[in-house]
Amino acid sequence: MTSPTAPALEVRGLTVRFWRTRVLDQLSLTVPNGALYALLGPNGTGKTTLLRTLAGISPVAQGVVSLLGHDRVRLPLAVQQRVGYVAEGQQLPEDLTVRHLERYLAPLYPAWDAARSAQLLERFGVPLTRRLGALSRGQRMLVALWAALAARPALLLMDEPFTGIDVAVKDRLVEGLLEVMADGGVSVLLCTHDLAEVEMLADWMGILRDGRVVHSAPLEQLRAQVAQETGQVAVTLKALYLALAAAPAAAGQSEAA
Amino acid sequence: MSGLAMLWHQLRYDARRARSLVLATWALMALSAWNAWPTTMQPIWPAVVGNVYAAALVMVTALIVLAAAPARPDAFHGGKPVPPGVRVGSTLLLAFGGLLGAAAVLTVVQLAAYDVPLRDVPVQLAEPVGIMAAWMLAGVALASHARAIATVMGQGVALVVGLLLVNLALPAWAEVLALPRGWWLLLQALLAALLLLTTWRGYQRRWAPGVGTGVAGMAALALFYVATHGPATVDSWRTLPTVPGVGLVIDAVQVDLAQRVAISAFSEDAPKEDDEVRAPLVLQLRVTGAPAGAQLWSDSLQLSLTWADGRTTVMSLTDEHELYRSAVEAAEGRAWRGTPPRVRLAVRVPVMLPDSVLERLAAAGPGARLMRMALSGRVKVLRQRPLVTMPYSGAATWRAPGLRLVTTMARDSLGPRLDLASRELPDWREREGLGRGFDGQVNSYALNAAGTEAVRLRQDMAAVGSGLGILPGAEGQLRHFWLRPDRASQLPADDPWFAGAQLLLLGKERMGTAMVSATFAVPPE
Repeated sequence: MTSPTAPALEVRGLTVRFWRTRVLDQLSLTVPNGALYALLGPNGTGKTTLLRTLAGISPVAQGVVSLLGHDRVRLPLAVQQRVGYVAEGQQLPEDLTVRHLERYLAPLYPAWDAARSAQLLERFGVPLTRRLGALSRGQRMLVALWAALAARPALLLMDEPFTGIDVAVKDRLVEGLLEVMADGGVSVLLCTHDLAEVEMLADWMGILRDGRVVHSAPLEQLRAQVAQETGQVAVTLKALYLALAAAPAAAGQSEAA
Repeated sequence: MSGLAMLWHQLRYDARRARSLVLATWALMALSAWNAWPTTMQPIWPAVVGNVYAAALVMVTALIVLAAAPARPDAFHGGKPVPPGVRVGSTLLLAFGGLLGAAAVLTVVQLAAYDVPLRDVPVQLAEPVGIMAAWMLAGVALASHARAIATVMGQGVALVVGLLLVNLALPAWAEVLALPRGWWLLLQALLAALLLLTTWRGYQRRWAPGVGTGVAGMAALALFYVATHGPATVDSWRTLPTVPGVGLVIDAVQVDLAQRVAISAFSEDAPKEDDEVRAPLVLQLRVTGAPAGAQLWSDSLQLSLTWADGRTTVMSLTDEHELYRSAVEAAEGRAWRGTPPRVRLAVRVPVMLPDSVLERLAAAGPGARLMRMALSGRVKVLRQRPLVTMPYSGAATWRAPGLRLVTTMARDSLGPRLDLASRELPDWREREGLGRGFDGQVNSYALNAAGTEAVRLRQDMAAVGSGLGILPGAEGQLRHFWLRPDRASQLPADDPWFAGAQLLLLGKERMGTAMVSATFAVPPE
């Protein structure tokens, strides 16, 4: 089903327009297998639009998007079942409880892992019998992440999962993610502004600016590159981001599959 | 998980989420079925309530879609591996099975309570179900492109306004759209396909939500409205049977071409008093199959004229078949402008036959045979359709072996007059507990040729008000109209009077102007 040599995610020349505005402009991006790729960028540069397009919520108007080696436009159901999507403020069926939701979701995902589901729910500490509509913002985000991770995705798309939630919940989210990453077999594309979480989680990083990925490389490689350019010994992630966000686009892009 | 299993799974999920809405709608249906409606209520109210109920049903359908709005980018379903086809299928099954199906079942129960034979129920149900399904499908199509119910409501208002405009324009189109039945069935199929396509595009997240979709939906429903109602107007009387034999069948009523030209010329901005073209408008009424000596009973002859601005005037002809422009002007208080009037409605023709003809018919026996057949219940409803020129009217064709009988009913006559009848006729009654609609008896009379004697024909009537019942349609409250005359054995079998009576079912003295009339065509022996 999934080519072992293909990257988890590959985007080539993706352009998305809202009326006359180009939100994504010939965007190219590759997320290697097994990587946790953090995509950073200022507000309004098209991160959410990119994630929605990858998740199939917005259509691919121009360009090629390949998920787990398959074209997004004709994505087989079996591949779709291996892709998870978690977004900030994502709607949940508010009248259902976690238990009801699990009964709905589990049959949809052949790889649904009941043991992992139970484990995550215990770790996240989400009330199982309370309506989702009555949960706090952080709890809802935990439910969204649980729903995505229990399905054992091969590719996880996350859009601002850490925004607006408290530190304790953030920690649980990060721990859950790290645990799943440690199990292997999952690649993650994470769009966020939270550098602390990126520091803990990411091994690849990209900078999105004006609808294009202008820098893309393993995190340490980018760090070394900036350290060399600035003469600093230790480059913090904040300094790295600020340097890259302001720097001209890398020639030919530094991303590599 | 196979596609079917996924559909079932999704349906159960959707049903669970929409259960409050569905249960509330069922409660509303039950309330509608059993709540008594006063028969003294003005006929406008059932129509209003029916329309509100229909709108509520469409809104509930839209809410079911919006519970997992496909157009919302943050929707929970957005990133889930459920194909759009499964989601559309589940939504349609829930809306049409859970709401429309339930309404249909309840209507069947209601019809059964009114002793409507089960074999006739499909005919009774087909049209309101079709119309309701079209509206609900429109709700689904609009909601599949909307993010909130407010958007759907806005589009719904635009839709209603659009339909009103179409309704106003209808008189000008009706002649053009007088298509054969097959064609307007095709148009309805096209409409359904268009709405389904719109829905499908919404679930695929194609086409932006907003005005464009509303306009597309409005255009589609306008097409539906015109396609179903417009041709029915003309078609209903054009297709009246023209079988040879004894009896009267209106074949055509039209404005003479030359006269039309004259009227158009006359209707310049400033008509002159001495204008030469102030000639009478001759409505040429062609009657086929009439036996020699037959006369039109002229003061029961009604014509419906639809004016260029869409207004309709129903009038009786009093001077043979000639209608003078001055008389029309007096009735309307205005002159024709531009388009001459169109004659829309088939003329209802109670006819008195001279004694000599009656005697001849009696000798031949066809009239008595016809009446026996009509009264013995060997006729059944073949089809019903609305007449648009009288908004609350209907026509039914009854068929028995060797017999065709067309009955027209006008609700704007029947509504208040049935109420009148309930006071005047001693044996009128209301059935308690089944208040929607009415049932009871209406006496009608067959008059002899001289009008000096009458034989009573008792008709048991049951009407389940679709305007206020389970399946509210735009067709008014007489959709489920059932006539059950006395048994034939209670009537004289071979009385020649009934040869005349076949052409006059209701006594106008008791019921005002004839409100239900029939045209019988007796097949050749």
